[in-house]
Amino acid sequence: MRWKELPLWFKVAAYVLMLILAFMTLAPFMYFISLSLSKYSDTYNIFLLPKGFEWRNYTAAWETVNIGLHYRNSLYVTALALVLNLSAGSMAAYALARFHFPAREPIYNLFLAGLILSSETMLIPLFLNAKEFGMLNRWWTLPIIYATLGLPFTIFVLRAFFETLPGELLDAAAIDGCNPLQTYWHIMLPLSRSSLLTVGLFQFVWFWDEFILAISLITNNKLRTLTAGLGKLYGEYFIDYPVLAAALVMTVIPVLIIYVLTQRQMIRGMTMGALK
Amino acid sequence: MSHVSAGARPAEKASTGSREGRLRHWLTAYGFLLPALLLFVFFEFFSLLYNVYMGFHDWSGFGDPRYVGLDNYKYLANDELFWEALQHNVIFMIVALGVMAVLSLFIALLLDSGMPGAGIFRGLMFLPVIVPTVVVGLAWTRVYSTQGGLLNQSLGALGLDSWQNNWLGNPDLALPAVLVVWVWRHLGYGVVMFSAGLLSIPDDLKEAAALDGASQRQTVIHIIVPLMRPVIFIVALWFTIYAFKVFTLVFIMTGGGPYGATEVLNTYLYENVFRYFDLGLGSAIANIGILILIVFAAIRGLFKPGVEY
Amino acid sequence: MKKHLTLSLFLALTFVVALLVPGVSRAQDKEVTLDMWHFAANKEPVYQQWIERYKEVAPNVTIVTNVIPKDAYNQTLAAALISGEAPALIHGLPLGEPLELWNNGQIIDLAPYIDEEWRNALYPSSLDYLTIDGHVMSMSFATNNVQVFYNKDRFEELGIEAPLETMADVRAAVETLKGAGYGGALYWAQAYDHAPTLFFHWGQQMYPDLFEAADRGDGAWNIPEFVDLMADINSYSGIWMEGVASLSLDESVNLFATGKASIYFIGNWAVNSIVKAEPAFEIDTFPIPALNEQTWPAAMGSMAGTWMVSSQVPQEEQEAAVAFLRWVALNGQGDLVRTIGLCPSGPAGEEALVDAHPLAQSLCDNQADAIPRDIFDRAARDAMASAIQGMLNGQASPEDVMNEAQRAKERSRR
Repeated sequence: MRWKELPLWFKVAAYVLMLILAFMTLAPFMYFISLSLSKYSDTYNIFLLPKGFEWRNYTAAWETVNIGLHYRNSLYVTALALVLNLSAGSMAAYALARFHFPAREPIYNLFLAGLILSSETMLIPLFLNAKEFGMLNRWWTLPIIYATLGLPFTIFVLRAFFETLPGELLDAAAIDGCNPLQTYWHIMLPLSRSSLLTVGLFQFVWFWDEFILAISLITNNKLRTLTAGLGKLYGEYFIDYPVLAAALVMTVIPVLIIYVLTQRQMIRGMTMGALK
Repeated sequence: MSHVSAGARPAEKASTGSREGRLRHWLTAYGFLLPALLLFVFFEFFSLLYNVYMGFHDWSGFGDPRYVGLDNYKYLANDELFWEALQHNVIFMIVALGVMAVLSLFIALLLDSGMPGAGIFRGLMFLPVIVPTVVVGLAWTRVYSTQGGLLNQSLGALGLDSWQNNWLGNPDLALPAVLVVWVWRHLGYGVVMFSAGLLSIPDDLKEAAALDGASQRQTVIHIIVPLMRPVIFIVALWFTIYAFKVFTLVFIMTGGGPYGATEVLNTYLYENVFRYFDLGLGSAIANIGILILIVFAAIRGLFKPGVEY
Repeated sequence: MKKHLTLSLFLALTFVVALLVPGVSRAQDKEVTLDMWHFAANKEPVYQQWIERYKEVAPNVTIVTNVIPKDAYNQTLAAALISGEAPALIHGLPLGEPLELWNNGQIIDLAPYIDEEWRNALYPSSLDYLTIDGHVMSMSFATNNVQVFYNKDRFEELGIEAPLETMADVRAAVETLKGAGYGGALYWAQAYDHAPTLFFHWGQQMYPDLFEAADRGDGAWNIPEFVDLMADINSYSGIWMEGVASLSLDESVNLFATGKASIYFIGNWAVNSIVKAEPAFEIDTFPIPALNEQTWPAAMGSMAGTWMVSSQVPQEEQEAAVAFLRWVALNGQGDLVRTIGLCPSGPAGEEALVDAHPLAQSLCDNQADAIPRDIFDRAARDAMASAIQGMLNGQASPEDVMNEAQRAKERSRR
């Protein structure tokens, strides 16, 4: 489809659609930022623009929640989980895609069954499990569990991608004397960069955002992640919405930064993939 | 560094060749699988087994579980609310496939076509995905609110006062309202996946088609879409899974209400486990969800697409 | 050689004894750490004050709080309890939660520990409320009273006389208000623990025995008396604001504080929210009006959150936890009154009333004859709440509501 050749009415409709979507995306954002800068009594008075600049909301949020500490914890947990998930997942996807061995399909289906389980439904068995392994309130608890929970999706996407790679490429590698490990490292991984990046971004978002496990498995405040730490802002009946909004804005900013950075990488990666 | 001697079989083909070679082939495969399998077996597998086991028992979390055979499933078969919840999940799936998948494919095509401003739009498309669910839930609850909510205010500003409504509190409007947010949020996934798929189609193919005199529509329908079949299947399966997995968004926005109008499998499960302490029933519900997924995966297996050029 | 050996042995022995001695004396004053879980982030500063002051009384006790948002509290607590990782001090709502945990053997009976001094720090009605079949399952330090908040200025402006003593009076008042362009009355029907409030209130006034029977397990919820009562309540559905079944607490507070609604059936817990919304008029309260001749105007009271001690933790932790609760009952009530706007649960908290917000004072003045709202059947309450929301939306009949409650009750007793 080439833009220049499309009829005018189509172009107009396309822009209308994209602008509506853009508005739907930006409006809540703007609302939230405005809320974070408002007084409590203005909570229901603001539309898209703030009515003042109550920076105290941000300081209140920072102090109440000790955001610095929780930021660091979230970063550690997410980064570690990502590394574990992508390495174990890509290796497994490689095996499932390009090797033939007994129990191949059943194992794949097993991983697939893990896709439907969400962390809420798994809370109690996971908790019992973690307790069995002495994993409550450790710094490595969440990374391992997150990495595991994300495995099905990673394997699902990467296996599909690996399957599309032409066999001749790998035959050539083997003939050239590459063992499977080298093939994996020097050929499969670089080729799948865009897929890895995409899956990585999806998983990053999920790990960063995860709440129920973060709050149940880690009760030691020093180890808590950002999502769990924000719980301190939810009063029993009274929530100071502007302060909460300020805290949430601060939570989202690093994600936004990473997003902007990876966006460029992703596009570059995707175009490179096309030129293989 | 082991060294494959010239003339040895390439890694993939293990069906022929020496037994030793085949064994080595299998062992390599298992070796690569090992880390993921270990993690999975230690953590998720236990949860799966637990769910199956608990589905046949009655347990409040305290004391000992009581074996009840198929009682939980029989109860669900007669439970109005369960079927309503399942129905809602199916609605999510239909919307996912009919609206979300189609729309995201269309948008991916648009963005790939050379539309001015595509870069900015592409960036915006994925933004809803990276925003934490809590923020999405809170922000949209405010958008739909009858008290100075963005939607009602916007409608008022456009002169459409009569269209204003209690979006989340009206039992007929609550599910569509939540669906809109859900689609908005996950559209980005589809766009990204489809965009990646589109980029892997060599440009020369599109050129060749144009040179051959194919119209835009023909190019799309007869060339691009068939080439994207693998990606389409992934996205279709993934969205279907999402449709049965939905929980947090519904929970935050409506909690399953009003009066069950937005109840889905997972919110119903949550109620049974954490409000009524009926862990057996909760597991039974989860198992039904898993069974449905297995069915879908099997269907996919039947139609497994190859990549043809 | 031998001399050196004996000497070194002697030194080693002394060393060991020296280590043990402080250990022995420490055992008497053992270091105890208590985990204190709750879901009220706004009360956290009060709890921290208590902990600080208590540190001076019992320096060997360290108390660590864990705040979990209300939506996730049940899950997290359930997971912890089931796997044996319970905290020493568990916060809960007195609406059925202590009884549920007690029936599952998860909490201890405080009755043996309550001495004369402790008893005197609480009102008899409070202690009564917390005692079930002779067991004191939890300890509460403040009360919530549900009454009617009204916009005093608006009432005067339109010539409506307060207090309104019957629901018929309320209906007439709402007519006047609507005629002047204002909205209907409000009550927090969106919350599951609050939607059936009026039913509980009038039900306990009219049929105390039937009510208790249905709640504790012997009677049924869908008997004709209750269906008629629900129908009676439903006949007043016209007085409520549009969409009342889905308004969040903040939204309804906002409606009230901005003057769009002038009558609000709510309790102490909303005082802080109302104050923060900076209403531009005077607010006062009066007890919940009578529904019919069998009922009378009264406030409806319940304990504002309650604390339980887990039976899973070791003995010394249990005793330390109980000691802490005792200290709070005697010394900590005032903080909740002053800071959160709740009413005291005993004489020990009364002196703080002078510092309380006038709204809270008004609520506490009317609390003497409050009808208790102890509901033990959580499943029935939740089912009733959901169905009441349906009833307000026109989707369910009063009979449906009571049938749902009965169904849930039977299910939870499977």
